[in-house]
Amino acid sequence: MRNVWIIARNDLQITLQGWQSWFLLIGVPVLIIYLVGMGIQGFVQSVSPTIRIDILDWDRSPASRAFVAALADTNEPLVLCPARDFSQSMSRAESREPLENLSRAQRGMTDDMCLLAGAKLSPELAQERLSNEVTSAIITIPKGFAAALEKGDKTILNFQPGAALVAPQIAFGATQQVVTRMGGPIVAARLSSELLKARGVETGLESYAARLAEAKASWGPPPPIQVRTGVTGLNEKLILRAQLLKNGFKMSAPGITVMFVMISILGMTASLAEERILGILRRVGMMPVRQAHLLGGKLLATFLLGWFQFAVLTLLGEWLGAGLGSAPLATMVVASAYVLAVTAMALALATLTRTPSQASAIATVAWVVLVPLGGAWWPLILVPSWMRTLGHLSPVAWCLDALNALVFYQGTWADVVLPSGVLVLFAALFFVVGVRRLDYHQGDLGQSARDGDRAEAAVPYFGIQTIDAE
Amino acid sequence: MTKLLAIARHEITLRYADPVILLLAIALPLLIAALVNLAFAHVVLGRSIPEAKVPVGIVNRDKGSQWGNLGTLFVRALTPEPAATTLPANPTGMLRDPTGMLRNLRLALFAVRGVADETEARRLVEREELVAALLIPPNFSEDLAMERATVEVYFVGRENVLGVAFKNVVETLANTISTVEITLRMTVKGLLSDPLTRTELQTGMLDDAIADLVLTAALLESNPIQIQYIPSIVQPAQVKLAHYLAATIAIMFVSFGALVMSANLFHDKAQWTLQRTYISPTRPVIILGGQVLGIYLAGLIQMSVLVAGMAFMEQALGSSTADGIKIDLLGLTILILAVVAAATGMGAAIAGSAGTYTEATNYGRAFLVLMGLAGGFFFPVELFPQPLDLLSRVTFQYWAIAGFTKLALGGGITSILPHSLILTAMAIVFFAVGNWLLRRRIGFV
Repeated sequence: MRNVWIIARNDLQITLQGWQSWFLLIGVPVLIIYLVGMGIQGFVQSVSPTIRIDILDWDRSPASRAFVAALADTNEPLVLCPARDFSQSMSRAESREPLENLSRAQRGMTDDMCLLAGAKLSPELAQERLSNEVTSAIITIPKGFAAALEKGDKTILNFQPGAALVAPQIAFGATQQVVTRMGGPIVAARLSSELLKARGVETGLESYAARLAEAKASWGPPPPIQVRTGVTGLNEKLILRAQLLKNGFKMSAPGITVMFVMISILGMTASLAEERILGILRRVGMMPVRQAHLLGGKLLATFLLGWFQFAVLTLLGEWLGAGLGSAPLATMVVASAYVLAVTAMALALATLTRTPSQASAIATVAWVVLVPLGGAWWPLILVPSWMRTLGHLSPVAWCLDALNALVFYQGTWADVVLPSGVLVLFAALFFVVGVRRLDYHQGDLGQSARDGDRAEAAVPYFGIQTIDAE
Repeated sequence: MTKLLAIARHEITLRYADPVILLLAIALPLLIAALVNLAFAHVVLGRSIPEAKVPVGIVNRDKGSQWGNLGTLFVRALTPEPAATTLPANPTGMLRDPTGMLRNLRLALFAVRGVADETEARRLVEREELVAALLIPPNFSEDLAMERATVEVYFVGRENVLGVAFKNVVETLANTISTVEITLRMTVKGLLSDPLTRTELQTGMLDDAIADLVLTAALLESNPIQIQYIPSIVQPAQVKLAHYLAATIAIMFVSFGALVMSANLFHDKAQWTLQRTYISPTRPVIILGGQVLGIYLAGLIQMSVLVAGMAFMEQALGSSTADGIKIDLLGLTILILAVVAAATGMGAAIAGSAGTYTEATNYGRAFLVLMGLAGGFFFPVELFPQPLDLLSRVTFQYWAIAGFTKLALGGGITSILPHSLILTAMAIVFFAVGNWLLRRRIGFV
């Protein structure tokens, strides 16, 4: 064990000598965590699902205000502009409800979410806002809207959508809902009254009024067909968005940490190849050191390096408010399992290559594929489900499953057990593959050096095989 | 000149004869771009909701009543091609053909699919394979005949904007069916109150009139509030997130390539290749110039292959390259020439600042990634707080990304001319600095 530790310490000393190593190990990831965190926060703020609708109300009647109030209630992200006008109509429509009792859309309208900056909304300004995608649609309520509804006459509401596909359609769906709800009793009263008049059952103006009152009563509440909302669980995307709005480091800290730990550890593949090429391992292999000790020392050094980097970057993330500190022990377990898995993966990959450039290439390909696939660059909940499943072929995905559960969803030990277990399985699998391939080379060596005493001390992959061949 | 070109050609051959370099310089960025495209094909910069159809499901368990299976009305209105062309007729023929119902309802947003059973629909919603599901219960028609019925829209998370949008559509349908139901009920009640019409009703003489009444009540045109849908004339071009990231990936990998090629001068020196060429009857400026020209041309090849490869890959993945916008090829060519020049110059300057090959590649890559992040890789710089967003202007990556974005938005040569000029000026400065440093480092005097 002492030999293992000496080899590990020696490797660590070599790796960490010079400020440049520290810069790459800690400095660069810190800067990237900071920049990416700021970018994520800005990005989430820029894409918060607010659907602005500019309303040109030329009627300014109780009916038009009721229409706007009903529209505001259809979907939370709808923000009806100009805010000041509709917050007033809202307060009348909602009997001055306390702010906390209003829906988010109504609360939103009390704030300046319309981006009008004090300007008065005119048709020209509305068109300009629509062209610039500041607003998703323009609804024009015509003059005489209320009067037409009172008489059961037709009135035309203009709906002009913006260029986007989804947001204007959401606004249109909400408008149709309100229109069918407001117009439904009038349709029923008018058609019924017309037929009954035609058949001579009813006569006079009172017929329509009586039918309208009856239709309104029939509409409830509750309406004839109630559309109940069944909501299941918590929407992970919404939780994620809400948290990232406050702090982008919640995503950048775990993601970039996991990425750089993988880059550092996979660097072992190239360093092993380089040591082999330079004959360093040959020299060490000729010393009275067992192969297992040499391999163990290298792996221990890599593991400790990865763990140290993980710990420092996690602490930094904690300082930036990432939120891993709530469960430090669970975080440590996940970190250990992840570092173990990646260390074993580095060993397995190292056995596939011969030269430093091959090793460097395979390591680069590995991290460039596994890191984004596993969700370190973007959360896996944003990608299609098949890609999420595919992503879990990467240890990164399991590590981030556990870390994200702790950061975003107040996870507990139960949330880290499965991912950590899978990571340990990854480690075992990679380790077996790595060692088996080493054994295979050792067999070759044993055959070629059947009579030599050096076979036991030699580590074939590390270069003795080449030497014997020579 | 011949020597210069020969050295440049040699550099390019060396670079692209190595399969490892081909893997790292060409295959890897294309692979990342493919991943990005698969993950964010429908995300458009500046728009909060992905521009894709919303998958929703519908489960109709309605067993029907004497008025027919009214749950089918939802299915027929929501699905583009209903399985049946007519509803089961009721005994009096009241609902003979309500296909005109809601024909004006715009359902372009939703991709509706029928789901066999409720448990499966709930599971699909929970796995987020469906955004929402409409669940029509077995006794829906019977309950509606008794005046009150309920359907359920099931989705994940209370503030689910798309789930609520689907609920709005279902409510529109529910309102229309309710209108029909109330119209019918009030009319029949009125007809029954008069002895003459009661007899006509009982003998079936009013069936046609009532059927017409039902159809009229179901039409959106009957509503006193008519919505005039004015199609948007202005269709501003947008940049997809995948396109934006593809451009940044290409710039990043070309920068890496230029850096590594510049750093290779240290290898050449360590292996005495450079010294041997130095003692040949060739002026040092030709040797270094040839190598730099080789690096530049190799970068141009790499960038061109990446741009073409990404465009081809996107078409292969099923989405158009620019959503109808024609990219100005001349503008693209000019911009690529300038971007690669700036990237090559930056590579030479970084390599010149480093002492060894390892230093140049390791720290150089880190420096390029940091510069790239500050310049708008992954996130548009407008999202950064001040003064970070202003700092980005000193990076060549900012001008490169801004130029590509302008072209993607339909801009022409004139729109990217300032970017190209700034990038060229940066390239000249970087080349001058890099040339001076490299000559000092590798021993040319």
